[in-house]
Amino acid sequence: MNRKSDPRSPRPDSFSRREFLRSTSSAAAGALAIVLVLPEGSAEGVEGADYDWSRHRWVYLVDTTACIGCGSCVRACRAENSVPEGMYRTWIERYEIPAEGEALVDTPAGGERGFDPVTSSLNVRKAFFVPKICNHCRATPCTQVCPVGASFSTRDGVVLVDQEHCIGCGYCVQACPYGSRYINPATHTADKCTLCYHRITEGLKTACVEICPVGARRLGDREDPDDPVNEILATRRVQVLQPELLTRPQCYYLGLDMEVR
Amino acid sequence: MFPELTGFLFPNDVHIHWSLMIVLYPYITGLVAGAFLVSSLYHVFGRDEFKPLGRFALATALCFLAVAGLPLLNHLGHPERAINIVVTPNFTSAMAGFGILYASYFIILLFEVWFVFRVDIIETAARSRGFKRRLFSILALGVYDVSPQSQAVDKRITRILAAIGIPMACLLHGYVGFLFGAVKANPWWSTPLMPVIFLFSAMVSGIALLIVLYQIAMKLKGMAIDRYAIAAMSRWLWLFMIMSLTLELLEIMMLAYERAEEWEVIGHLLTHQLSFSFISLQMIGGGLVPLILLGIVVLMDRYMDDRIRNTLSMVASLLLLLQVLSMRWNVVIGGQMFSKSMRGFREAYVPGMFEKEGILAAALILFIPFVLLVIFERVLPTFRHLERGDDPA
Amino acid sequence: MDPESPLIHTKHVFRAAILLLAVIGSLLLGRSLFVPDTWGEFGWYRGAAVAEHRARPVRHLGDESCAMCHDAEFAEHAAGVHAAVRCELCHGPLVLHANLEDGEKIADMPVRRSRELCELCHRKLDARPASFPQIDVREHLTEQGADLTPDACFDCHDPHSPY
Repeated sequence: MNRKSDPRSPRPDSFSRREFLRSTSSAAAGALAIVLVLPEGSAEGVEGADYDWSRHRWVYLVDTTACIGCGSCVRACRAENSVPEGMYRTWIERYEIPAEGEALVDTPAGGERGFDPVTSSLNVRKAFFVPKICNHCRATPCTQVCPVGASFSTRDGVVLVDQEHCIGCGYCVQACPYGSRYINPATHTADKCTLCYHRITEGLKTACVEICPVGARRLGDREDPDDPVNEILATRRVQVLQPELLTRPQCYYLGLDMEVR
Repeated sequence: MFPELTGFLFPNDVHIHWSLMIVLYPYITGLVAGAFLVSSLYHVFGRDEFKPLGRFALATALCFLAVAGLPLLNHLGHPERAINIVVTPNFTSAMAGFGILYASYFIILLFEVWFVFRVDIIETAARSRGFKRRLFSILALGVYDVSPQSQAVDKRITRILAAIGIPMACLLHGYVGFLFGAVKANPWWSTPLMPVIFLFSAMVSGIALLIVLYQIAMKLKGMAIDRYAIAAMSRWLWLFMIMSLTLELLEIMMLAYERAEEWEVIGHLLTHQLSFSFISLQMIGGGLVPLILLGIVVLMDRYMDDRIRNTLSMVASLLLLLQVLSMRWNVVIGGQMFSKSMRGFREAYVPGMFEKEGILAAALILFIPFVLLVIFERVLPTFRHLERGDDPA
Repeated sequence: MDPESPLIHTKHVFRAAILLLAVIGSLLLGRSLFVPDTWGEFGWYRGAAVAEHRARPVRHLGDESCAMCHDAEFAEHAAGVHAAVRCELCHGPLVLHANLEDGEKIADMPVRRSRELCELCHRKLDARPASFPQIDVREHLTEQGADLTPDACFDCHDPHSPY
């Protein structure tokens, strides 16, 4: 009873958004030719197989030493993905670590409106920002516990939620050690970072990577030998969050401090 | 004793999402498992001291099982999609077992009830006229054989079903403990002890419920409370509560002694946010006090006036019902009180009276099984075998 | 049936067993009616969900899209030190500004020209990398002998190409 489609390229309809987006940069001036959604079948001659998910495996790289905590990524993510007020698919944490005593950690509104200077008498010698997103774990506890198969990993390594099938039990929210998931108050289903699946499968970067002014966030493709992120993962010392849980996160960090969970 | 926490929460970790409803769910399945055990002590192990309540315990288990799914349904973001749990069960999820376990256990319980009450159903059909007669004929599946041979068959099958029912009840309830125990993201839940603790506290709550209900039922019916039944249930209750309390304490002591990193958070949780529901209710009021009361009932059984035994066991049972409820609360709500950042706590969760998953909804759900039990009693009197005087005692 | 047969007294058991099988059978049968069409296409999930995720609208379209109408600003910006700062970082996503079907403008960009906008990146914070240009605005304005007005920054700096 299954309707089979081309397994290499599950796609909504038969146009190539990527080609349109490419064409915008070279098209003649005048009207913006950014036609994003065409009625089905109206785009001629564009093959549906422009994206082959078996030839990609997405990873993410965060350089904590570069992040300036401007919060642009949080704002862009909210706008790009209609993230409801008070919930976060990405956020920025600030760590202020004094020479002695407890670290001071905060994330006012997820860093969405930037950060104010810390007014504390502590002798802070080490301070930095840490951007967070869903780690898109390879051995992810969240899809493991979904009772109905509404949460899954795609073949190109992205953890998604089926908004039409999710029953809203919240087990995945409990199971995620990173606090990446939330129950969307509008849809009453589990929701999370999709690694901008609608963008990366069209040849674009995620909204947060696209907007970051200092290159603290990078999207990588393990299947692409020329990807500079692969070079960094191969040669530099990287860390993942809570490695002891063996969830095999696909979000790697440069310059991660032991205070960060 | 504990370092001051900076109060940093992951920004999505602001709401207690698993509400009072999720506290209620393991509570109700626990009552079912415990009540079922008492009926099985009679039906499988032939403990005749439980004969007065063998049928009543079975009916209680069925009535509570009938509502066990309601709190979950009320909690779901999309209750209309609840059927997905059986349509596309994802078997790597502990929760996916729910539909199958719940359905199989329900079927076993229904059939056991049918075989136990079959003769009563036939007799009722024979006695009545019109619609009632038709209804009971259908319930009897059109077979009106009440010969001693057929009753012997009933007995044998009841015994088999009750025997299958024991591991099923343990599975259904152990799975609830597993649900929490297998969440590695949460140090307060993640322990292999969790299903075991849940099982023992289930037995405690189920037996306590029966001690209370049995005494009330006898008072209402003007029948004598069976001294041996109460004494025997008190003994079992004492045993299970000691085991349950020991396990609950062991878990905490292990964490504290190991000085595991999560103890900083959990120690703070138990002594601050949960100090009332954990220390006062779960450990002292609902733990130590009934331990002493039941100790008196068990150790001084021989010298005890029936009324004192009844009263002491009643008070201890009510306290234990509260203890198990607070234990569920401390696990379910307590496990969500701290952020997974391990650096801060959420605001205290106080369920509202009238909200969707609030106190009124919980009280309603808890009230339904009692109504069902009264209806059951009207339709198929559970103590008729005593009235008929075929009680050997 | 033979009245001597021992099975004569188990008739009700067989009836119950048949009822049970009927219930289980109809449950299994009923289940398959509810399984979504594309279930199991790629794994234990609804295959169509992948396409649904891909079908979501793109809202940030990048500097080149802006350049189609604003080529002068684009050129100036691309040559300056803010070249790495995307248009949409300050101005917001393009979809709020232009109709993607025909390129017609639908609204002004919601850019908030203010000191706070600059401060998001350039306010002096301990946690920022020391090499990143950042200032204490009050100190800086006092040094320059300027007033602390809401858009004081723009008196000297052009946000498209500062310095």
